[in-house]
Amino acid sequence: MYRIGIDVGGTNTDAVVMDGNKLVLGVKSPTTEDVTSGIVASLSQVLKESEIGADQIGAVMIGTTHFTNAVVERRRLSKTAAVRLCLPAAECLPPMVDWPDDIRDTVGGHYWMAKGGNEFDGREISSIDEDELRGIADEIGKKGIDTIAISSIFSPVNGEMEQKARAVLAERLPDANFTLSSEIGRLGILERENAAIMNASLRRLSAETVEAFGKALQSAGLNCPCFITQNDGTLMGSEFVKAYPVLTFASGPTNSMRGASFLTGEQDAVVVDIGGTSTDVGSIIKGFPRQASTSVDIGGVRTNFRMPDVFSIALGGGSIVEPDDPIRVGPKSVGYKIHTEGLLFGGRTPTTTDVAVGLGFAEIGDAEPARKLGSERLGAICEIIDEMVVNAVERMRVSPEKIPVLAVGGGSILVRDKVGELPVVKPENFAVANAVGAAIGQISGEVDRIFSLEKTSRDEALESARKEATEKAISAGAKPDSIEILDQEDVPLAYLPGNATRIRLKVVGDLDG
Amino acid sequence: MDSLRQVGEPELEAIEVGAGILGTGGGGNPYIGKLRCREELRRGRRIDVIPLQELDDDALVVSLGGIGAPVVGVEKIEQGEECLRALQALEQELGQKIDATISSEIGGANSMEPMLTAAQAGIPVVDGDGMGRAFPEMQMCTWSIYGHKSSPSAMADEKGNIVVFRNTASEVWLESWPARPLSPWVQLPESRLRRCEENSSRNLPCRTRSRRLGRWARRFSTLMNSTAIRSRRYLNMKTAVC
Repeated sequence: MYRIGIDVGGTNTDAVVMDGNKLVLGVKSPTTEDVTSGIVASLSQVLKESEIGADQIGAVMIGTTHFTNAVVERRRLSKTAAVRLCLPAAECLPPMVDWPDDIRDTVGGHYWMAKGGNEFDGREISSIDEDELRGIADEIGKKGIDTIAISSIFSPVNGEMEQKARAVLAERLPDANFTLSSEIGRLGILERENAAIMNASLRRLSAETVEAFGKALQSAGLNCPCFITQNDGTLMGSEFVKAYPVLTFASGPTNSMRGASFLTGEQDAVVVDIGGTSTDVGSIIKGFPRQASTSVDIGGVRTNFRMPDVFSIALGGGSIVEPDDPIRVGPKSVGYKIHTEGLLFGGRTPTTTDVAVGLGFAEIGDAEPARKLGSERLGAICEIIDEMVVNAVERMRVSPEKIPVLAVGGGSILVRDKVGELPVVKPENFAVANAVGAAIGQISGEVDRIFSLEKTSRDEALESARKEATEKAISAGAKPDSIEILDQEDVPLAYLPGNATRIRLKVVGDLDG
Repeated sequence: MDSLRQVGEPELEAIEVGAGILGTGGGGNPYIGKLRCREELRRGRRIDVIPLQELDDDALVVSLGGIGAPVVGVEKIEQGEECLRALQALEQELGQKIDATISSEIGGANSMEPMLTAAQAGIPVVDGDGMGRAFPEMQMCTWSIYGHKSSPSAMADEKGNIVVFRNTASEVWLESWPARPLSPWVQLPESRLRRCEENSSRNLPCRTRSRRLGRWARRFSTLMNSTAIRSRRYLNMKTAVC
């Protein structure tokens, strides 16, 4: 069976067909406002060009930045009620206190703080007051809000209060949907709560989008399972995405890095993904993107997801060049209008691509207008571009070895055979690396529960969690010999008898077949 | 060095970065304290900074901050006026008004609390601190090394519990009172100006220095706070190209 990987980006929707580990074909088509018709166009094109029947496709994997873009652009976010169980603690910093005004306004900025929450050792800060919560439910109802995010202090250690509050609120608000912070994030109340609120505000969009994906597949004649890639490069089923859209936030850079690593076969490298407007630089270590160690801002909102560490600069194939002294490159870009505005297509705006073409790095369009700038000038501009790339790469490089730089994305003609002292590898299908990254998305198995360390050691408990997660991954369709641990975390629970510890462990493996 | 006289939002941002650097890997993240100070400013309160030389000879200055594991502090945020309640309890105990607050450590999370409490109490914060960075224990403050004894002192929590310590055997004993890492809030003792001046002079003026360091670091922000800035750039690319 074949697999199809799709990357729904802001500008293009790319699709690739993979036969096991072999890339059969990749196509690009413009992303459409309704998303669906862009996907249908890509799917039809890739099926037609590869001459593979729809019945031979075993699975479709979709990577999308749709939800991230909604947050960044403050569009299509639902009004959300944030309920925090904390009082009297944490009163000084209410929910969304550190959000930029525009996004707080978009989700409505409605919050309530109530009694509840736990101490670090599981004791209650104060008990839940059901009457107080019922009053809050009535107020939420009066405002006509049906999307609710609940957070509680130390809920990653004990999530019971959030569950109880959900039950009480749901009695009065039976049609509301709930996001609990304990299901989403880690310690750090503000960051976890932020993620829960964003998740809640995205659920309607998520339901619509998942449905649109399903319809697109149907229109293209595909009846196979459809997966969506999440932050760590593993796959989620549709129902899961509907409930947890925030888990797709970093899937874009993850797919691009994993796709680049796959296409080149390099396991340790710096990946440079040059698009039309910006360049994302990240590190691959043993085939996986290096994770950020501190909090990550999404559209100005602080979260603490595990996300790949990505450094971005405003340099792309469409970046506008100011050729007279002082020479400037970017940050503005002509973007998708390069086909009309770039010199090489008969336009009037010099871009980085014109410089590359003028110097003969690539043969696109008409090189003559760019050459008129003179080779000395072109060389000087090229030096500036090189310096931008070298600085970004050196910043993200974590190895003293001469690891390769993997250049992907439509704008990668801007780099040649070397970045500083590092050799550049450009895979043949550099333009569709993201879609390839989605297509090679892995199957995961996860365990998250409390183990007693009374009669076993911590190592034994971790081992049994690993076995359990492995079995789950295999039954979900992972190839047994490809399974590795992706993430592991254990939190000792001082408040429970019997030396209890909460173990969270995730294993991943390649999709079998 | 231009001396800092009043802290507004830009100064807060700079002090946050400077205090992060002076935390030298410990002391917790000043982020939450910065947000709390910012909320006070937005409510119309002022954070005034006073150089040590301008305090009266008999001015009463207290150092204050939080004790406990910073990891608890990012999850269980304070109610907001813990230190103010402790400060008022100490005034009651001494029968005297407190004239200013000072940081025991300018590095990490405790860089912010003295500014916050000063704003709430309507008194200035001294441009100085007890160690010039973040340290593991209170007894490592310059004034403790020179024999200052932290009693009386006061401690408050978010629930309304307040404890005043009339006498403690040593600085180490005082700090071991919150025996578990509950992050309670400690109001450390009176420090008479003269002793303060003698003993903390080599650390002065730390708040100004922290701001300067922060400003410097922000200019070279590519070095600092890297992931947040990086990712913001990445994800905000559509709305604002940095």
